Amino acid sequence: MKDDFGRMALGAPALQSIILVTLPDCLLLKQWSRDDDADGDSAAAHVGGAFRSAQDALRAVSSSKSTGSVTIETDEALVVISPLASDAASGFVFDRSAPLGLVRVQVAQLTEHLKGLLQSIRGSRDLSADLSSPSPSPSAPANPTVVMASPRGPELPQPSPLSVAPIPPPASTPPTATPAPAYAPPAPAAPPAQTAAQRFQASPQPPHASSPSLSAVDTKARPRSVRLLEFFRRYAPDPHASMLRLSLRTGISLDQLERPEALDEAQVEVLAGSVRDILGQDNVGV
Amino acid sequence: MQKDIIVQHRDCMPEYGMNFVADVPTVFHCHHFNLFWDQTIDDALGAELGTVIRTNASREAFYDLLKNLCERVGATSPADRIELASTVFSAMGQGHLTLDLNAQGGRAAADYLHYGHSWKEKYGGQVRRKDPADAVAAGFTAAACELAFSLQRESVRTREVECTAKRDRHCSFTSEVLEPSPLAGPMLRDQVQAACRAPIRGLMEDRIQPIVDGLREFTAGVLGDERGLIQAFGLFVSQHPSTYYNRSGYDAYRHVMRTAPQSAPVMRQLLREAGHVCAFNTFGGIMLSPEWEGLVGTPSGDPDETLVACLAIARALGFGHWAATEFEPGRRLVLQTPASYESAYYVNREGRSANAMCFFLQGVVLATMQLTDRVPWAERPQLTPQFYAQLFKHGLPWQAEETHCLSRGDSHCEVVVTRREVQP
Repeated sequence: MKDDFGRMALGAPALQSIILVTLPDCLLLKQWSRDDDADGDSAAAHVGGAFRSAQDALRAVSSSKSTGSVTIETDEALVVISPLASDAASGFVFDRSAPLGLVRVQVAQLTEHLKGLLQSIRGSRDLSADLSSPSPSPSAPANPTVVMASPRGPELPQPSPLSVAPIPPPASTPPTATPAPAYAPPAPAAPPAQTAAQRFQASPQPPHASSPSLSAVDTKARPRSVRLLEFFRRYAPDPHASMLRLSLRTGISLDQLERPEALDEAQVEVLAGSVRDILGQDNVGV
Repeated sequence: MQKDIIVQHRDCMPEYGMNFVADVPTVFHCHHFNLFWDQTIDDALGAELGTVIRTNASREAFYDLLKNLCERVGATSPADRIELASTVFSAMGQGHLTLDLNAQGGRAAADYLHYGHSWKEKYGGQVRRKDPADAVAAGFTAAACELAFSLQRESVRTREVECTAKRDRHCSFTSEVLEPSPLAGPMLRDQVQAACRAPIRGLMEDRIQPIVDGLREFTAGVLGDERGLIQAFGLFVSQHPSTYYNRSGYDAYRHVMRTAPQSAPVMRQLLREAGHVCAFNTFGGIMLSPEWEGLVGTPSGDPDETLVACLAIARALGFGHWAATEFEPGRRLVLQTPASYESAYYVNREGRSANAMCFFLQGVVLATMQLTDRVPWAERPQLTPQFYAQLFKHGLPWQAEETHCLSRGDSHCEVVVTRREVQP
């Protein structure tokens, strides 16, 4: 998928990076960046957080319940965060020199194609089962909200081709008859060797202790306690001491917090309350 | 009244590394430590009870300080005493309090307070705080009211009703007079002196002492600015009666031991972490400051030099007469002190413990090893939260154990830092 994003960026030279995040957990689904050193987890946390904050602000000042895009302008960058679904959003970072009107057009195009791709993945029941584990888990929902493809995932249904802003294929891509991914121009540009699921699985990420494996992201299937702790680790101040604080507040031992899936219902409620208190949130939405 | 009125009442017991204001033991601490200490108490007890315990500790400690100062300068009327209180509060870097007090209680207000302002600066963009942050100012206000109107000690209760850390426009307090609560025995210069045993000489004393003298001269004249804040070394610094930390910390710890003993090890770990935070930010901030460069020179990163710096700073700030008796860079550090500000309090107030009780000392000594080994001083690093987190990312390669402690009847306090057998 990184390669596909890269090709997408060929049609949008001012585009610096794309960050797909889950909501409300703000976990990194996928990232592409012209800067290989970009910290995707951190960017995803902040992109998701900014979108959530903007939603809160909108609710506070307006009766409108609709969720539009969020635009952030700085001296160096223009960031647009667009909702893809109720549980996913995408951040687009453009160079500040790009005209705002053009950015809006490109964001609209890219957003539609990313929506289509997400929908395609959602619609693949077999894929979700394949992603969760080698054999489908009996407790997993049949149609998970957001899933990531494993490298061995099956072929996805093909979304519609990009209809505007033609993007040339990479020079090294051999011609193939395999249909193109959602945002790619018609046939000749499609890379043949990977499935769409493989492409969506994207570039290798360094292991990160506080973030789940990308192939495991499935926000509704994992226990709430696990998601709470992931959320907490992502946002808690003084991260080196955050688990100690949580343990002291909840009375749940550090060993138990290392195995959150084993916490009972009452402990999870206590945990949720302490996460809210430490983060100063009325509702963490997890 | 001029803030420098406090300067002539600052003194120290140099052989024990203990500082005083009007015979009340005091220490300088940075906002990183102060916020973390308070936070740990609130994590242990909840914000409501934590605030009460912290406020009461502040009330007791500042009452003694204000009473002694009023006696020394001859402030006898309520107006004089209130003016003195407000001036002293600012001079110590606690902020600027406007006290509108009377014999029934009254009000107080502030735009800048050490805790609320620094909390907002450090965490305000990340966390929405729901409880007020300024228990020290609340306790101080109560003490000032008791003293100004000759009310019974421990009888005024002050609550913070607005706080800038909660995104209120300013901080405000209300006070009322209630039934007095019991008061423990005094904790003044005499009690500290009685706790301290024979002075200890350690390695590199001839290098440490001149720096201590220079730092003492500098800190003796440190006063709050027009906001009542001391902003130096990249920090907000304040001078507190050490009884504030000791009483609040040990009261909270006792409560945890009684109600949730399974959480006591975690609380001890967090109190040590407060010491670690202190050393990293305060020691580091001072060593990277222009003032340090003028006094000592640019840090080179030599482990001996860094250790000398840490010991000198600790003594000058009032943490105790810390002496290194063994030091193998990166491998082993043995630090002794005739008393820490914690153990001097503990033996006077809490009696004898079966365990070592200088949690802050344990954390700072561990951090001292860290500073001598893992911080590239010659590169003049930025002491950011990111750098701090990076140092911790894979755990620490050392462990600290307090092998001797006045609190359990030993002749001195000693912390030994050694390498972990299994690397984290």
